[in-house]
Amino acid sequence: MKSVVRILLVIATLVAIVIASNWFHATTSVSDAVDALGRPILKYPGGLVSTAKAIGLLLLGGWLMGLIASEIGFSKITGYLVFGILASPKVGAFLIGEDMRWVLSSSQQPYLVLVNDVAIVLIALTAGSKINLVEVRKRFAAITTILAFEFLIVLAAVVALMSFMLSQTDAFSEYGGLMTTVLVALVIGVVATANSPAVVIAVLNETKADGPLARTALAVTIWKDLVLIVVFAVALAMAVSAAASGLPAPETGGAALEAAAKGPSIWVKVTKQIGGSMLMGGGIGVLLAWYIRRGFAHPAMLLTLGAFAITLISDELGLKPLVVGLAAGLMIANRYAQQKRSLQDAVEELSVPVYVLFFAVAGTKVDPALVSEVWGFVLALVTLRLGAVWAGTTLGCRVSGMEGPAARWMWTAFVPQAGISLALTVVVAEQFRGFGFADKVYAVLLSAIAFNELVGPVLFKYGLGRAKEVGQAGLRED
Amino acid sequence: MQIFLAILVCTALGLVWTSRRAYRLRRQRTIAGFVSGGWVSVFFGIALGPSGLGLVSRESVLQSVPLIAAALGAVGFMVGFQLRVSVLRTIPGEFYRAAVADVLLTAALVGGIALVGLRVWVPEATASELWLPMAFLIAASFGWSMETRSLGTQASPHLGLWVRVTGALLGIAAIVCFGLASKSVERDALGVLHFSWDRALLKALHTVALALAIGFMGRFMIGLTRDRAGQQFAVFLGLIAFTAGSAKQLDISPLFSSLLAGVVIANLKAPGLRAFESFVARGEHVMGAFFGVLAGILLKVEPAMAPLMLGVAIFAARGLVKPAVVRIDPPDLHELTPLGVATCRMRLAGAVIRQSPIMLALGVSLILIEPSLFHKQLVAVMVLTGVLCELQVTFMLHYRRADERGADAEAVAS
Repeated sequence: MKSVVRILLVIATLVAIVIASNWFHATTSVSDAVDALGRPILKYPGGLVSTAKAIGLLLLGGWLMGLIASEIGFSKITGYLVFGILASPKVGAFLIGEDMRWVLSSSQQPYLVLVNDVAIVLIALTAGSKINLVEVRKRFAAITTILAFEFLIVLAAVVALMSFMLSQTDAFSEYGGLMTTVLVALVIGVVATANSPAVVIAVLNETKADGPLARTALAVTIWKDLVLIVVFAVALAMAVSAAASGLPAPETGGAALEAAAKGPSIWVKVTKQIGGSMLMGGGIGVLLAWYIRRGFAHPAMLLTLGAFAITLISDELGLKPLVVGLAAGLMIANRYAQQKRSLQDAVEELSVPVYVLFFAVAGTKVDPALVSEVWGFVLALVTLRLGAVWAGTTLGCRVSGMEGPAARWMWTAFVPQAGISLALTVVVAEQFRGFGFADKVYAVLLSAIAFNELVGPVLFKYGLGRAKEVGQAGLRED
Repeated sequence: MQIFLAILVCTALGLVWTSRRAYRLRRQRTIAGFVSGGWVSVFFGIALGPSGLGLVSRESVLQSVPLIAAALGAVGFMVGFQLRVSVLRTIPGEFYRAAVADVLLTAALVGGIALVGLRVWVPEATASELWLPMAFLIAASFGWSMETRSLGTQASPHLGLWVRVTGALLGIAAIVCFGLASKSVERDALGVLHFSWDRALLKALHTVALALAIGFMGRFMIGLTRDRAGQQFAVFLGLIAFTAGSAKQLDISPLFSSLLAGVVIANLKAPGLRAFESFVARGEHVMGAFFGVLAGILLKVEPAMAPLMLGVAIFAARGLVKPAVVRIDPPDLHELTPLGVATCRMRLAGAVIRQSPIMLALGVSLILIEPSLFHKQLVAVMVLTGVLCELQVTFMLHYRRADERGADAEAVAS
């Protein structure tokens, strides 16, 4: 208790420094300044200069809050998220008004995105490096059965509920009626099926858990992500196309029209995206393994730079950084066994700052004003999803022949949502931009994810404890 | 497409640089001196940047201000951690005397050259506009490269220690001088630069307050890491980003603020501090290479007589000042080395003529304060000086070695 109070004091000091530096920060905008040679001086965009401070604050504050969470029996990730939520400019606007300065400002948020992308690649690399394809092949039937049952039951339940609830509003009447409502519900359903490999890996790392629950949960979560990317692309293209068909062209959003126009080639697009990402990931895996084999001095630094490169190249080629990272990790873990250990050590060293930043940044996206508007939808969605996850997973485990505490608590691994779900939600918002219902859909998804973000890691940690897999990682490897 | 080329070039150069053949080459004495000064990474940066292949633009690099500020913070912490009072007490007095002599002589000679050179270069500039450039040119000329491999294996450990410790002390002096000078000028709302001593005092107070607060918090957090690498990494990254970011926002030097915070942490007895320090020290070479590449990308070469002459004049000044510092209070060369005194003195002079790599961090810091063409050209001037110094030392060592070989052959023949 004493240490919790001390940690809280340090967090308060951090926040005090931020508020003081915001207060002292020179607000006079220098216009048209020139240097001694008479040439104009480049100006930094607003928010850019203070982003380093924001990153530092999220790292230190999130890390400290994680320690407090761990001290009182929660998952550290919950602590990281809570700090991000509290520091968020939206929470500040909700509590003290739009005009007042809060800990973080909204002008800093766009610059935190790159950190997020790099974190996703590193998390995917970790996930890939933890998958043993030989073992996956052995348990392929169990993994696919659990995946299929959980995915389909959650999807069906959420689509049914959302179709019903959305049809009660008049938001869709001018966008093609019932068909559009069902397709939008399908998009929400697909996002609701998403899990967080990041949370699963972070909790497994934190608890040093290993066993049937840990291994199956990790494999199912990762394979589900691959399935999800394909299903999501198709569902979204259909929904956008249906909504756009209900309106004259100029009234729809730019992104939506573009997507609708590209509707027929969606399969080609998705195949190229996934195939290209896997090919590139494989290539990067070979390169990384080669570098590690040569005894490169700083594998952790190399990985960070590699993650930056993957992010930039994926962005340029329209590939999925998550799949690229995953394929690179899979390649090293399964093709270059000797380099696997070095990679995992380097990833281990990087994992703490990466997880803290990733989850704290994810927390900053929560908007309490939006939550208060759509709380009825959110409550229904979250409750139903929880029930469907439990039912789907339990049924899947039973059909696949899995028994014991691992089967009983497997469902807890599929509750958490974070990065991927948030990324999909942002894509939904972007694609539906211009439609009247866009804000509502965005708010429902974001709020539900926020809830699952907070509750998920705690549940999964509890599940691992009940399955007696906590602290088994080292023992099993030995 | 540019990003592909940039990554391809980086990968290719990385592969060549880490190859066995390149490693063998790097261990040669003459090459070692050049490589350890960070010049390879500067040329790499020039090749990547607008002055070379144009694969990376200065603007895109300046969009990474948070990353650059954090890297400056890392350098500040690395240097600050070395300033533990108990360690400073063990340093012999001759090391301090040499450092003070270098600061005074450099400030006088390089300061004079900089004043005249800058007046010729930009005759219309006001005193306040020349203040920061002068401070940069002087501070960047303090000290020397702390590379000792080129002294040779026969040189005594004391000689190596002298070069490293005085070099480190002068690196600190450079950061402090530049940090203090950068606080003294600021632009008003109309964009006119002027001296502002009251604001300078306020900024100095901010720096100290920030360093103290971060120092005490840092000590507490380091204790919580329990020597685990992942936790240490999170705390280190958080501390440097937070300190440097807060400093940049408050318009104070990220390098100087982090140095002070590092000093506070180093002098507070924290559990796990030693492990944390050794963890931080692991990144030293990477940071050196990073600033070399950055400086190379950001500098701007424009063919003009005034900056060229300024660079050559500072190079000539180093050739006078640095050997003079060695002569004022020389380490005892007779007893401490099996080499001849002349050889030893020449090698020592060679070692101290080389420019300190701290210059690269100061250069990036100068551009970060104001990303102006003038500042980018000033960094190019100091890089020119550094390269000229390296060439001179390489020539000196090569000439002297040929001389030594000739003398050995004569001795054998007789």
